[in-house]
Amino acid sequence: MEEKNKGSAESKKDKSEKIICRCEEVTEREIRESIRKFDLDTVAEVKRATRAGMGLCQGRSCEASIIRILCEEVGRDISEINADSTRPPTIPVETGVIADVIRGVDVNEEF
Amino acid sequence: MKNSEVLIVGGGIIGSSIAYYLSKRNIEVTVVEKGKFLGGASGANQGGIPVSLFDPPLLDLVRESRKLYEGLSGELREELGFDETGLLLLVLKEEQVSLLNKFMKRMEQRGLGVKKLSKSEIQSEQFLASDVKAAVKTSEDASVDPFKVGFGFIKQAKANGAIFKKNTEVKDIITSDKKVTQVKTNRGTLQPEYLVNAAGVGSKSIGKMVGLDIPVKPRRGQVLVTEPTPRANYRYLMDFDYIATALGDSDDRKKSQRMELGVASSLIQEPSSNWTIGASRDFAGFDKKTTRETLGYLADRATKFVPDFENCNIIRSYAGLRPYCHIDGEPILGQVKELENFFIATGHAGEGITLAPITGKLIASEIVSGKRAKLLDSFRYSRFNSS
Repeated sequence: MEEKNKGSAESKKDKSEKIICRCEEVTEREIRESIRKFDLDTVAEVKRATRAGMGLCQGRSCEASIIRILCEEVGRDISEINADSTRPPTIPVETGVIADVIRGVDVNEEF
Repeated sequence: MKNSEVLIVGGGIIGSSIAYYLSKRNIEVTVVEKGKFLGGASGANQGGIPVSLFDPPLLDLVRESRKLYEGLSGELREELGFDETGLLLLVLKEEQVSLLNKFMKRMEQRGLGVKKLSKSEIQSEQFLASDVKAAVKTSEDASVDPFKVGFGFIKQAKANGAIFKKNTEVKDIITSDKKVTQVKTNRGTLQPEYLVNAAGVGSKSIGKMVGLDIPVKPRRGQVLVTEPTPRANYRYLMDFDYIATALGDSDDRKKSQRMELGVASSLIQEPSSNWTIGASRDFAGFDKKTTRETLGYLADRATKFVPDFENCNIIRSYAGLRPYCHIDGEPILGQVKELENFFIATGHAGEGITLAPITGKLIASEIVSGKRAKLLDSFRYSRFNSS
């Protein structure tokens, strides 16, 4: 009977579980399972497989924890696991601010 | 490394799909990936499954793939975020309204579900700009979470016994008697019975190893990601200019600097409720960086359709290199005549996610049955031999 609830969105987020990525609500268990299932050894792979680090803070809060979990799972030293490559913007920026780079520049653009 | 019957070069969504469909038919398969799985174009795209934009024979292939997506979440036992809301094709310039009407007629003739929105329907969608002159809603276009699809294929293929090796780069391929006999990698030599080149932007250099000139080059696409916003009624919006940047001739692209950079909006709200703001198309070799100018045009163009984006935060940007066939822009699929046991599955350009299921299914079927799949006949490598 207990099997019945497994896999549902509710049971997946057991309250006793440790959440590593708070933005995307990814638990420690989900990260460890993905590392084992897909043979992952980089932060970028964990991100793609679990969404950990893909949220609003872009891993600024959870990346250190993900690196620590990777070290434990793959048996490597912390110096051997690199942080994910950073991509602009480094902090959230409004779309309009990014658009300002070209506004008023392109004379052929009518809109 | 253990020898499998089939060796797939490339662990993107195409290689993973082929591995899944082969493993489902009990074929022993190994996938080698020189970097990380889904680390190239398969992990740097919007997850769009455009259907209505294409002409036959590509349309036939795309439609078959879309049909496979309908049952894929169940088949892979993974919630893939398949969103069937359809596409909203939008026009900002009065003079493009007649072109949109023409395009709509063409879609109708092909049996694609299309519906023109009335002025009041456009106005009632408060998130759409009041400048939008016309809008057509299509029914077959969809979107999906590309990571879930890719990892879903890998997970099920592994469950079926497939082997996935990352950090494994093919260094040389030995042929004899019109057959691939040995594949040398940085982690040992393999002797597969069949070889599939699904190496995306790397497929040209794999082809070179066996004397084939595969006309594929990297086309860069840049994307912005917003913070999550409330679910919209329409979650796949497309700029009518996209038809010109994606499928039009090069004259269309000389109209403005934006068009030269191939920027036309493709806006998709992901299952996570973040919007991805695409799309751009340029050629910069293997440079995967985003550029200030293109991101600027992407951002500006998106606000023309959805003014609320102006103050919405961008949390990330990325670029992907799509394998683009520089001769005709269409995928290159199936067995080659030059070598008995060599298959190609590349050149998907912006349609890698769209075409992944059907590519996997048909390449697997050609390998298993030894018969040519009819749907692939327009896309074979032999089309480049003018003789």
